[in-house]
Amino acid sequence: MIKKIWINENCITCGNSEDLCPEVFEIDVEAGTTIVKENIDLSMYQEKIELAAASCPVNNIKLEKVTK
Amino acid sequence: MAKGIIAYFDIDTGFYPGLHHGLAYLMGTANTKNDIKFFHVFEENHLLELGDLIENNIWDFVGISFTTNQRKFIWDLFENNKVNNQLLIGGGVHPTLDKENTFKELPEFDGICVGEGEIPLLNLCNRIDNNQNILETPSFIFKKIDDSGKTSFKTNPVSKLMHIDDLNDPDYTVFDYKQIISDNGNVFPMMLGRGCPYKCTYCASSHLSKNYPNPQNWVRFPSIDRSIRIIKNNLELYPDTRSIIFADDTFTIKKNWVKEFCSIYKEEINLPFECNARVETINDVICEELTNAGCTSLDFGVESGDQWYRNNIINRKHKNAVITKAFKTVDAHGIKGFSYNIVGMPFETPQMMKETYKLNRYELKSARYGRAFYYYPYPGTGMHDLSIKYKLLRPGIEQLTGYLESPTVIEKHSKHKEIRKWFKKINLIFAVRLMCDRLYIPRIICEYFIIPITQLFWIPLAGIVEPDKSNKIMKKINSKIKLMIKKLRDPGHALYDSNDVRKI
Repeated sequence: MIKKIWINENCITCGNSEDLCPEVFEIDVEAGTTIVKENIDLSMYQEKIELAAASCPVNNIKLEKVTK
Repeated sequence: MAKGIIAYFDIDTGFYPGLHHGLAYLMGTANTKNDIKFFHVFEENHLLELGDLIENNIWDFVGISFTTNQRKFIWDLFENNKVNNQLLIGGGVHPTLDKENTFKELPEFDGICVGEGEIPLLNLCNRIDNNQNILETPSFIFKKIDDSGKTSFKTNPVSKLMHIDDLNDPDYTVFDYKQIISDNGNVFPMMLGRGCPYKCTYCASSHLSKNYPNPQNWVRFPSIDRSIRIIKNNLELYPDTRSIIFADDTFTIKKNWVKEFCSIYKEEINLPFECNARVETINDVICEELTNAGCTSLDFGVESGDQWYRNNIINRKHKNAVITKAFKTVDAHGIKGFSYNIVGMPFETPQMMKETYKLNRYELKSARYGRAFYYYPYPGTGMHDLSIKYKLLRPGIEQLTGYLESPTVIEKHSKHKEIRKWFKKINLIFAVRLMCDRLYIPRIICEYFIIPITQLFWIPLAGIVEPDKSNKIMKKINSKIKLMIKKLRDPGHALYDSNDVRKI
């Protein structure tokens, strides 16, 4: 199960994660980076988050998982 | 050994270098065991020659690769030649983006190849050779007509995206590459990787990726070894190369790759080069690496100076400040920044186009060359869907062949006169900057003296810099000036116009 998500520095704001999982990721234009939305139940979007992380072209999305 | 022909339609597109990298890779892969002729159709009179070639031979297949703006020439080809006795396959960007309409608009096609064609074409050839059922070939859609005349389609799954290292090397010799590169000032355009991660709504890239079972692998960078080997092979082909253009969509995405590439490129190749970049990927570190390796210019898509429009309609989510910072950074490292823009997009108002003008004129003084293009709608893209939904496209745009002819939207949010005005004014800025740089005129004089004067008299001057297609005299003057500028300093940017340089 995904416990925590963080975006490393040097996000290129390509919109890939926002496109794949808009419930969790969005681009913050002011900050110039992708952010993880607050107060989201990550367990509901497990597969989409993993796909977004796996397809990040710069491997910038990091996940911390816990085993049930 | 399958016998086929691949025709690449490239007539009157205006700005593009004549080498098609994808087709060079396709020919490098498919032609190893087969007899496939390649025909580069870049003038209207080539249609007669191609028609004869198709009619007077028995081919296992005739493949036609084209983009949306080349359809009118294919209609001409099919109308004036007997092509029905051949297996006709459409491929390339347009058939991939607009599968159903391709069969409707061009009913002569027996099939289309969806997406990248290297392995699918090889499979098709193998099936032809072995007398297997070609209708089952992955990545192809075939039209079937039963005895009652009813049409159905056999849609095969699209093959997975391959890693770029698993493809054969490109074969540029299928083009008249010596002439093309020589006309281009000995600048050799090459492509190493594939795919762009960005999702701009006017662009086909992100929509093309959706066709594959593994779209997450869309952006592919080759190994450094392979990159250097391909560059060396290309340079052996054309030893007079003075500069390279890397035509990869966004060369600067992977910082580690760029770092490693730059250090080895400097050692092994050591030629000036230019490449495409996104403003978000630019910082001092990457610029230093690029400069050390010999990068002379970076080409950026600015597209619109109106931040709201760019963020919300074009889906390019960055601030104007990020654009200006990127241009300043590359300038500080001695790299030239080039700015590419679009005018006449759906919902775009004159005020928004003026913002694009102002950004380029006042904030991006270091953009020493650039371009404004008219928006061209590619079916399957978000902006095209939006244009259709709100009925914003004008009739007759299928007759346009490039981005430099005329607006494609109806006069709802902007009059065509306004769109043409900003198109011409922006292009005049860049023409003047380019000329001043080539004549070694100091930037301060260019920006504060020459550009203001030329902008004041933009109507007659833009007539020379950006002549209307029908104005043959102005076009001739324009061609002469361009050729003259090209000779002023080299190696230069690919100041290129298909009408005046391809004298093959």
